[in-house]
Amino acid sequence: MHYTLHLTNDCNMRCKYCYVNGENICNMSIETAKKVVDLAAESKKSSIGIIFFGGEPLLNKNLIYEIVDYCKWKEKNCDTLFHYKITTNGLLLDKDFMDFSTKVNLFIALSHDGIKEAHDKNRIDKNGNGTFSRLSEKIDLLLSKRPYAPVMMVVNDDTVQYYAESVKYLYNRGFKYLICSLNYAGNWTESSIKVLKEQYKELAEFYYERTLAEDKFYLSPFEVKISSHINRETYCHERCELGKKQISVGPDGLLYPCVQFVGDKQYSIGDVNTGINESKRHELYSINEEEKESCLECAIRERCNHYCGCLNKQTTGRIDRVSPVLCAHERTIMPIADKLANKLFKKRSGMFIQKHYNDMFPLISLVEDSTKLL
Amino acid sequence: MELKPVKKYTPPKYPDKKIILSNPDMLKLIPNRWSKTISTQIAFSSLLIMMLTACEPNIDNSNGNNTTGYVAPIFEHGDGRGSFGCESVAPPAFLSEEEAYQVICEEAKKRGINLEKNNEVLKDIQIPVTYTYVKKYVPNPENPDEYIPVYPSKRKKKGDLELDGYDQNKKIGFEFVSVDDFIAWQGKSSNWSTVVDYNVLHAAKTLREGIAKKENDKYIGIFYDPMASVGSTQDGRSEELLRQQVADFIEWLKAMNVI
Repeated sequence: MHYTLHLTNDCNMRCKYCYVNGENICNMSIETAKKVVDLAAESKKSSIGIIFFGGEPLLNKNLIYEIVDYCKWKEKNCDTLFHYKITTNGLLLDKDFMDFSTKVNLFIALSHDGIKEAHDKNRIDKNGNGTFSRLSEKIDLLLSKRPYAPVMMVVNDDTVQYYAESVKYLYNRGFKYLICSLNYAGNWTESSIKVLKEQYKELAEFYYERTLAEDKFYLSPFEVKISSHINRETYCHERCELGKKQISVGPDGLLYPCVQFVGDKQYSIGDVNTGINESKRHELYSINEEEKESCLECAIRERCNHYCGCLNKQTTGRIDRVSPVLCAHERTIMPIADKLANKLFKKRSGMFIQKHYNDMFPLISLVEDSTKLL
Repeated sequence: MELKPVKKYTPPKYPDKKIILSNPDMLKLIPNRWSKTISTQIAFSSLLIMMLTACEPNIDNSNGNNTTGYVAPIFEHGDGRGSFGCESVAPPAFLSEEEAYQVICEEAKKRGINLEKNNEVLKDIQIPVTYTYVKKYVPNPENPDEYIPVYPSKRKKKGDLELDGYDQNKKIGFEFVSVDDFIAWQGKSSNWSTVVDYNVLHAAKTLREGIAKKENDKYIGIFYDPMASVGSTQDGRSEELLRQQVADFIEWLKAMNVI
């Protein structure tokens, strides 16, 4: 179970595809944050994730330190252990924060869109300037302390032609966990989806070569789709169940089922003072879980991401109305991912087989990496 | 942009996890560098043993649920559907069991699989109950001018199935769903029509579900009469489509490490 704390709706950037617009700035208070931690501890789960989000969470560094302190104190008085993660644009990363992250094992995910042409197209600061060059040293700082830090890349309709090159750039920079996602609310057309398809084909070649070279990496679009077949019986249980595995907390203390809903009060499922409104949570969950009429006869329904209410709402305004862009994406990537996996399996690639079929792979991988360090 | 449900999707040939765990030899394939590092080797060997002893086969023979069997997916080549009846309907060209047997065995023999008629029976499986009428027609989401048939839901009945061919040594067998099978499996209905509809593809899919529910130690392929249009048996279209089904099945067997 995770609680995503939106520490602020302010940001030091103005990414063109982001919901942050610099208006009606609201920062979370320490009192609100403590109430979230109390609420989380009441659930009596043995492990709870606290995710710092925004806007840009590093605008409130001191709040992060205080929250972690409070969690540490709380752990002494309950059976819950907290673990931490932050998603940041990276501009405010510094040595002190990196040292802190190492000390408390705070997982840092960096938002970055790849090569300069792609990144600076949409990831701009308040003055409209690109941020690519400023992030270069931040990447070095991040990976020197947290070599397994993931990078979160957004692919927009106007940067899709740089997708493959951007992934390769980030990989060569040292990121081994590459989480790539489309901006589904962008102005996608049949033409840009065709470009997307060619980019995925190029990425499949890259994935194939790197896997045969026995590199360890995670490229989310392919990993998720391959897993949807390999783990098909459990795949449906791994996916997001709206509001059940993750709760977002707005700066004002209102609770929401996911990050995309924060600020839209009709989707609020409670607040930090009164707790989770179970009937509202269940109502949204049920609406989301109901199979969409439009998808009933689809042959790839069970492996498709169409049940993501968050993504659907981003594009169509409703959680129960499937995004046509999402549909196009799934139809595009699935055959490419399957062809890639077929090739690697036919080749009997040891890396492919261990990564996808051996549940102990993460542990063995950790042993391997630890041995290298000694 | 519009939603476009996928009508047909060829199942991937790489196996799912359950199949690999039932053939754990595959898990011994490791990256080369693991075999060069003692600590990684030890970690791998001990964790693999732990994982395999924790993974017991999920078999429940009491009611036939929760088993996987080794039934290949249906490899769709050919519509597998045809109507026969009044003058305005163009009848399909049906493949007989014998014609299909020749095609399948010929393809299999090229890969060293000898499929013989040796009365190999799958006992107590769920056989499809077939109907020669269409329940209703609904608009095709991809083409609103077209209507596609919806059949009665996949009903089954308990029974035994004698495989149409079986290789005793390799434990590979097949069932070819022909029009004759379709008629033999017919359920009772008060519907009457001058046109009869044979959807052997639908029956093949239902049969696959029925076999997959029961534990067995064989590798089963299910093929169906492609029912290419009238006149095409002369140019071998149905046979060609059937060959493609068999070719995919053989690729699947390779992926399973059976051949």
